[in-house]
Amino acid sequence: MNGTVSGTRLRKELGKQLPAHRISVSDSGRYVQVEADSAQDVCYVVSVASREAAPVFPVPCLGRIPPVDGWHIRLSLSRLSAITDFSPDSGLVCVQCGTGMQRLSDWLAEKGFALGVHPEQSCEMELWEFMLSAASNSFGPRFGFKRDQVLSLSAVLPNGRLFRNSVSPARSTGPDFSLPLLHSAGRFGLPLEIYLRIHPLPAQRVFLTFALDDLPAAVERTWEVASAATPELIEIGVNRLAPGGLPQRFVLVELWGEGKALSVRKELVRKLLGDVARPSEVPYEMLLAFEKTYRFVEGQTRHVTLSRDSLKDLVEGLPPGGGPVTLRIRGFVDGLVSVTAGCNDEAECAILPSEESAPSGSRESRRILDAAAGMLDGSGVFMRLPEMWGGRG
Amino acid sequence: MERGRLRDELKKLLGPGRISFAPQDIVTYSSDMYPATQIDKLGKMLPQVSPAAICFPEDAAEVQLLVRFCSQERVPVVPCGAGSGVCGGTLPPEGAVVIDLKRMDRILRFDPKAGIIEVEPGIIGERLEDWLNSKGFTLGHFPSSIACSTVGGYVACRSAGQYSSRYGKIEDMTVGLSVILGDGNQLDLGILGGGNRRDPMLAVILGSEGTLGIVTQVALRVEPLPELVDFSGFAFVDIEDGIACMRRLLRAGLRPTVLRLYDPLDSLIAGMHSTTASGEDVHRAASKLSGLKGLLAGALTDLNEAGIAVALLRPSMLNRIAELLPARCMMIIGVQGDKASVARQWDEVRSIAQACRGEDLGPEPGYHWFKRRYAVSYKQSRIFAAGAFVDTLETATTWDNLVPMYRAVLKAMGKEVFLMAHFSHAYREGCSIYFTFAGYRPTSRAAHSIYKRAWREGIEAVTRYSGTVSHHHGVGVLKRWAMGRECPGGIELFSAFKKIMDPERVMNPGKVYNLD
Ligand SMILES: Cc1cc2nc3c(=O)[nH]c(=O)nc-3n(C[C@H](O)[C@H](O)[C@H](O)COP(=O)(O)OP(=O)(O)OC[C@H]3O[C@@H](n4cnc5c(N)ncnc54)[C@H](O)[C@@H]3O)c2cc1C
Ligand SMILES: Cc1cc2nc3c(=O)[nH]c(=O)nc-3n(C[C@H](O)[C@H](O)[C@H](O)COP(=O)(O)OP(=O)(O)OC[C@H]3O[C@@H](n4cnc5c(N)ncnc54)[C@H](O)[C@@H]3O)c2cc1C
Repeated sequence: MNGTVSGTRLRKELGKQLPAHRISVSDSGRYVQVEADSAQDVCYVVSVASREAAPVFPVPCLGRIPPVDGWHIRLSLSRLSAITDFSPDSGLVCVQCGTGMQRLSDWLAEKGFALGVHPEQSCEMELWEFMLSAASNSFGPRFGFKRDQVLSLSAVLPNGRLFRNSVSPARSTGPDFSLPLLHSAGRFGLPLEIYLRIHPLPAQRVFLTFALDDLPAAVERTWEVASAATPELIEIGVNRLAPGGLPQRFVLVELWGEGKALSVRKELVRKLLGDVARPSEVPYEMLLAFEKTYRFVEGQTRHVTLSRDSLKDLVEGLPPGGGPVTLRIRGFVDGLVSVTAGCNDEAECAILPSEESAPSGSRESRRILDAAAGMLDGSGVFMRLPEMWGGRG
Repeated sequence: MERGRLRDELKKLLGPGRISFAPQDIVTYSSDMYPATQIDKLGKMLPQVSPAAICFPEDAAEVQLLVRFCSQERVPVVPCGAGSGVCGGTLPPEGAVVIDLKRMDRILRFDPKAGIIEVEPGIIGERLEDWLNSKGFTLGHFPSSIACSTVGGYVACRSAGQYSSRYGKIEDMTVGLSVILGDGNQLDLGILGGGNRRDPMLAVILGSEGTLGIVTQVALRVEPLPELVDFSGFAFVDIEDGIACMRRLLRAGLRPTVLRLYDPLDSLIAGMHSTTASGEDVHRAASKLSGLKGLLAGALTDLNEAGIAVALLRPSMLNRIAELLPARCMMIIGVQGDKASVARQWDEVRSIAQACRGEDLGPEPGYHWFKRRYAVSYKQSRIFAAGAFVDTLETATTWDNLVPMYRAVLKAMGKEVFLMAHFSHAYREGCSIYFTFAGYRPTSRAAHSIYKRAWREGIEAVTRYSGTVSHHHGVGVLKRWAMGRECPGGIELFSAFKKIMDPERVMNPGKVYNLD
């Protein structure tokens, strides 16, 4: 990244294909902001950025654009907000990347469908940010992790080329590059359009909340809940900053269904958690809206994937009576949980597993991913995207 | 490197008996089950290019030694499992070193509590499954080639077995891999590298067909054997009803062990006791078709070798006649679990099938399929024996696209070859279509030409409906040209990974993506 390109030049190059009213320049911020109207626009902007070695940041809602030396491009994707395909028979919806997650959820609900993950409402997050940041989603054993919601996608690569895979439930056509795309916080490219799996809304949804006294015991029992009752959503919260009246340690369970089958599952959850948790009166939505209650601090938040054993070690290692950390434990899918952990300073953070020690991939796996992303993105267009959500650049 | 010197150097690296330059081996390893190479054989043509040596390493350290050497000397390396691939994935470039992995066939670790087994890549699928069965477990991976294919080949090609609707494809079972990369370094992924099954790099190695490195160890998820697996047959008035039934089963959350819907012709060829809607045996009904039509229908239903060649010269006519065959569409369904759960599943299956106008034919057709489930693929040799060729195009798409894509492919390929299909490997969002096609021309040159045209037309039809150009056979050299349609931009990502993992580009050159 040479950082020598000027705002004037960027504006001129971008203006060759984009109308002037969608390009604005901030001299004080040293960036050019572009509103993209189509996938082609995005590809063009990124190809200019790549040629001119200017970093590109889509305009986030949850994340924050890090300080940049020299000029950069801010890309607004909000106009790419169409729902381009909806197939109830196949259980799929195709959505452009600038679509607001809440809007999408509302739209689907009107048609009687829901996503397999809950978008949260801390801000009107767009699909691209929802997919790339680890911060904002809730899920459970029934529908899997966020990446399990994706059937196929298109993306713009750091050189401005378009990537797309076939719209198929499975393929044997070489490596599946959608995984590096979704697991690199954008370094391999920005998703432009995604086919997401959707599920018919059930006749009834049951929300159960429990306050916990014995966290390690409750964690162990939650694995049993996950396999026996396959809840649609399951989450354990450890919230040292919980405002008055909210439990500091709790379990949330959401079940979909109807009639007897649903009652049986509900009773099963209650029975399994009965001796390690107390039913709580606190509304589910209030506990779920973690942004408002957990208050994770930027730069002091870690995202790790833990196996059952390493989760056990973590919770058993927490100091009695609360401790300094905030944990959001979600998933319980395939013997794994996704943990978002917050702490105040280095000393407090020491009891948390580091992203280095508990990643999905091995150290070598991450080395190769980093090197390949660097190889693909010679001009560093997307290299700093992870920093938007506190990750390493 | 000059062939003689290369062979001398290789001899220094591996002990005696672990390397072959024998002409019969050189010829054998010059092709795999890619039908284009079989067409050459029909024309008595020997392979145009040949490898310099076939190596048989016995552990990962030997693989590493070989790959390091080849990378230094820039000699192409072709990993080979059992050579059952049907896309030319193991076709060697001239002077390549073929690394046959079948001697690396040990079971390294089995953890029944965690449900994980770790094996070397050269183990044959059937041997692994038998071993697991003896411990009360199953991998759940049953490709038709189970007796002649390896675990390394499965992960390299993202293979699918007959029970995939229940157990998933091999990529869903793989939780760890060790790989010797093209630069000679070892890469441990997923649980074999201290990570977990969600390691994003697993998805890069799975399906890479030996182009990035050689898989030397595989960790797989296994499950306890079910108490009971039970099969049944159903007949549907047409393909639309059968597909509606499959879709509704999957969307209702059922995961049948087996779910295979045959189009009318495939129902016949697969040797099923198919009846017409009025209950008459379809062979008898076919024989009532008059004149030439009757003759051709007879040749087809009996797979009469002499008839095949004559019939295949006029594929359009044959396809039209096939349309006239009065057969219904057969579906084989299998479910598993304990007795109570199997009974519950059958109740649900039957009520959905009935709602789709499906007739329950009872267990007989199901068990008939089960008995012959591996035999059908080997019928293909009779077609080659008749001087004709046969191949399969396996694709997948979403439920809404399925019938239009099926019809489009029939129409597109039907000008060149005779074809039929079945629908299997079902998911909540869609399923796979497996087209079997056969063609004939008196010379191998002419045969090659219609073979190529048929593929081109078929793939174009598939990609018009956004389907995948391969659901489980892989790309090899056969479908490489279609990767630009299948995955625009994929080559950019592939090149980036290739530069990091195989900088000298020695690993299985020219497969999957063409970098030249
Ligand atoms: C700054 C940043 C860096 C990331 N780096 C990686 C990475 O190196 N490897 C990786 O697998 N994913 C990483 N991710 C996560 C990934 O890009 C997204 O989570 C993506 O949405 C994957 O979908 P999913 O459904 O699997 O995600 P989720 O369901 O949210 O979780 C997928 C898994 O990735 C883990 N994860 C989430 N965020 C991070 C993070 N910041 N760092 C490390 N692990 C995380 C989670 O713990 C989880 O188990 C990163 C995300 C961010 C914001
Ligand atoms: C009659 C018949 C029926 C078939 N039925 C099915 C079926 O039901 N389902 C299905 O999925 N396939 C089927 N196939 C295709 C074939 O069996 C599969 O593609 C199988 O995965 C190939 O395994 P193999 O060991 O024979 O691999 P090979 O043919 O030896 O190799 C296939 C590819 O994998 C690479 N490779 C092999 N081993 C390694 C390794 N250790 N590391 C890196 N790369 C490696 C090779 O270089 C090559 O590119 C069938 C084939 C035949 C002939």
